[in-house]
Amino acid sequence: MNKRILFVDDEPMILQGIQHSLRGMRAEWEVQLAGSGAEALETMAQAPFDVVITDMRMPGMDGAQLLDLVKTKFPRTVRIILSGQSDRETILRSVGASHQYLSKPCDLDELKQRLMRAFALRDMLNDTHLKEVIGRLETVPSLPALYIAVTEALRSPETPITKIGDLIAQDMGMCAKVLQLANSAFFGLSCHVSNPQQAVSLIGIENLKALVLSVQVFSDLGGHLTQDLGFLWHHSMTTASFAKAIARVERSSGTVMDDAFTAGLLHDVGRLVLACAFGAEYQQVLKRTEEPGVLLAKCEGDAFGCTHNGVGAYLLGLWGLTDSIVEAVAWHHQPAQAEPASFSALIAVHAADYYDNQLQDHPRSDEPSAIDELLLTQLGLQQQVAPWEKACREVASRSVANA
Amino acid sequence: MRDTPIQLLLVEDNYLDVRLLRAMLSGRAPGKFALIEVGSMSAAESHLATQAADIILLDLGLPDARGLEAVRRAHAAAPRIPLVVLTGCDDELMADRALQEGAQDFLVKGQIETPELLRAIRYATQRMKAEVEMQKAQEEAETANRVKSELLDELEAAYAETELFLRSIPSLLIGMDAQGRITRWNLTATNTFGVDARSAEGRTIEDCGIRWLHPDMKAEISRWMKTETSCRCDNLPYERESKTRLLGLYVLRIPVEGAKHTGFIITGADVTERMGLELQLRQAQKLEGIGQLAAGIAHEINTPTQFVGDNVRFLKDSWGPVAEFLDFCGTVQAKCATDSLSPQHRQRFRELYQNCDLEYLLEHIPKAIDLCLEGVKRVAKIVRGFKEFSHPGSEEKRAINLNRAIETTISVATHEWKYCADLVTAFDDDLPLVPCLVGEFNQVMLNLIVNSAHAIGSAVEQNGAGKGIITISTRREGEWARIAVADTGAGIPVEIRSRVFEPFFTTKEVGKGTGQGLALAHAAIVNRHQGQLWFESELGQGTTFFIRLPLGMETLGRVPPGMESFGHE
Repeated sequence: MNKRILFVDDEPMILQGIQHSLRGMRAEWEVQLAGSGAEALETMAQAPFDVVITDMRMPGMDGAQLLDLVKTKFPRTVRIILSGQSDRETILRSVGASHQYLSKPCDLDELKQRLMRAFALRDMLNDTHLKEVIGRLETVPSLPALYIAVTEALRSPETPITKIGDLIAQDMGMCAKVLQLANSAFFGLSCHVSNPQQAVSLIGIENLKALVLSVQVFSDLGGHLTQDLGFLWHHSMTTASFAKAIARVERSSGTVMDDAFTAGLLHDVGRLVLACAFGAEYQQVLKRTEEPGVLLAKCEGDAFGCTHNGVGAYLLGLWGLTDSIVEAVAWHHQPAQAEPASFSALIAVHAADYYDNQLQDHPRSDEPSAIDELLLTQLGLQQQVAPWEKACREVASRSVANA
Repeated sequence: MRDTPIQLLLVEDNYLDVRLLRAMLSGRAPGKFALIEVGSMSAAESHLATQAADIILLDLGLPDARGLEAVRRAHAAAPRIPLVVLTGCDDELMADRALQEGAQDFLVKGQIETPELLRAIRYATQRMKAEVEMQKAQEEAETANRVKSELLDELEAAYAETELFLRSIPSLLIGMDAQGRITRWNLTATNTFGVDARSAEGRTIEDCGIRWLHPDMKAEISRWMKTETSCRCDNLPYERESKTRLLGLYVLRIPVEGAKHTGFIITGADVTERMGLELQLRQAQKLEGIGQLAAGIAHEINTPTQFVGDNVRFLKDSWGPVAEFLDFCGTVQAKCATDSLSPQHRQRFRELYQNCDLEYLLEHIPKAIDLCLEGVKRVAKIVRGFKEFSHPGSEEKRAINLNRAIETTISVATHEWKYCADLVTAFDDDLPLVPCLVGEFNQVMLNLIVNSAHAIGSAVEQNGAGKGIITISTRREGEWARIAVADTGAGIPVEIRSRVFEPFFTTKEVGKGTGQGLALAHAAIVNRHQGQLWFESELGQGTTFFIRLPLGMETLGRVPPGMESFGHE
């Protein structure tokens, strides 16, 4: 089935131009146009769209208002803003409703690439309900202690931005959000960032203050959920630092190390999303994994038609995070499925996840308990397993010493 | 002449002597003396402690005080009462010393005759009186001296204070007499000109050591001296340390007390820095206007850039298959000529034809080209309008077509109003050219249009109404050109109407307005154009701002005074 895209702009010439320029994709994409928010909603009511791309400033209903309505009425549709608007107030207003933000004038290749990535995501999840849940999601909840630390740091005028970056880099929800904002053109040019500290400094402390304190792009995981899910933060942080250490052993570039760290931090974000969205149901799933030999991914698949890997990757892709992170999150249990050609963040996270489990006193049985040695052999990395493990053990003992 | 008897205190222990003196005094002048007789110094002292006496006759051979001691004690007990000493023997030395100790006269016992006694009493009384008066006069003189020196001190302090006051005034203060000679030169003058008071005072302003750069300083000074009350002198140039600097002066005529001529006070300051700041301020205001538009203009340019880019991209993408097809057309044409077109060629021809989507392209390529041209035209229009609007700073009034200027401003501000209002113009095509500082006028129009758009915007937000209307009209009213900017916003609340033109007054949320817009508009129209700016407002109906500019061409080319007093007139 063709992918359906709806463009909304009050300037007919823009719409004509877009229609012309996407003519070459007519075999796969069906482009429709709407001259106003109201017209867009009418069109969407007739048949579902995969993506809606709207101008921000339009008479009557503006882009943010439109996307707010789309979020409630058609949550499965990916919501993108394409705007020449630069005033901060409007941008802050659009942060909640839109998944991504492109700035005019927008290069056609960039637009095509964003669309293709959005469409690739559509196939990741089969369950429409889950797509709706994630489509509506504006925040991923944070560990209360970290959330409080960040808001307090932002309220105090003296806090250096690096400290805020360090705090955010410990929390998957906040990290994912700042990366979404920095990878989109909300505040200036979009750039591919995978380092949360760098994302924070790109957004700027004043914008971050407004986003966190007034728009509330971060949220606080409730108390009882913290009890159930608190372990995830420790596991995520450990995986993140292991993945980075492994990437360092491989003498990877800074980008790959950043990707490895962030993908490690975010690799289980889907568990958090599922637990928050389906509280009791997900509890049931977790209960089933207490039996030996029952894998979490299997139970999740039975219950929701997809695994937490898919959920996490879908969310991060929707939010416009770099492909290498989305890929690592999606396939960290079965890296071979992604058909990697060489060492990447995916391999680092896959190995790091395994080592974190191995170094526990009581390794969990609900996650795959082996490194994909066949794949490593194919990539010529089989000799590296020992140095990786050594590096991870060093990181672990350092963090124990620091604790 | 005294009626009351003279109180005579006789201090004498010898009864015989007492009797003798009593007889002498009462015999010759009965009732003239009242005699108080005491026999010892202590009795005399206790009498004097409580009662008065006019004269004391003192024996020097008292049982409790003898000789000089008696004189001292009597004098101490009553320093203001004349004292005549009675000595027993003819002792000149004793008499002299008694006089030194405070006695006025002395009599030698046994040699006293009545006339002599009376004379001694009289003399002693008079001498004492003279002495007292002298002492009093001396005391008075001392008091007068003290008062005088106190007054002098006060005067000196007052003078010092005035001097300090004048010295500390950070403004120039130069005194000048009627002949134009400098009489006063304060510290600020010294610091400003690098000429000290001693070398300036006594000379004329023209020749006091300041390097004037005024083309005709003599004429300028004589203009000052002709003033009846005060005159102003703006931006008077002079040179200091090889740099041109500017003075702003006030010359005031003052009456000089007691003289039939008058003098002058010159006050003022070096305004070089202030003029620089004013220039910067005006520049900043202009930049602010441009900045205000920049975001909107960026968006306006973005739109054509986006669709021109998209369409060119479409043309490029389309060209590939079309070029391939056309290329093959050449082959086909050659084959047709030799009649050797094979079925493979026909097949290939069909494929290429279908591949290039020709039907669509035939319809859409002309459209795409039109769109590109339209886009380029739009960008050009925006750039032209922006250039006209920001008008490289003409500081003199030129005759301009107001309608055209307003049209330009409306067009560059499109982004500010088009989302909340339709804009209607009703221009008087016969409006004559108007002498105008076009840059400032454009800025005022921009402010009024933006304000109207905001007024409508907030009314729309509150009532959820649709778009509003901004109506801009021009017409001639006698010797004025009148411009009206009307909006269909919520109107200005009665309680703030009087504050609308105050600087820094704003009802917009923080960051949206500086509160300077209307104050500056007022300054620009009223001070710089000698025009008028006012408004009429009705709650729920809208507000109309009116501008009137004088049509008189006599102001052409004139550079109006600065805007330093904006908002306070």
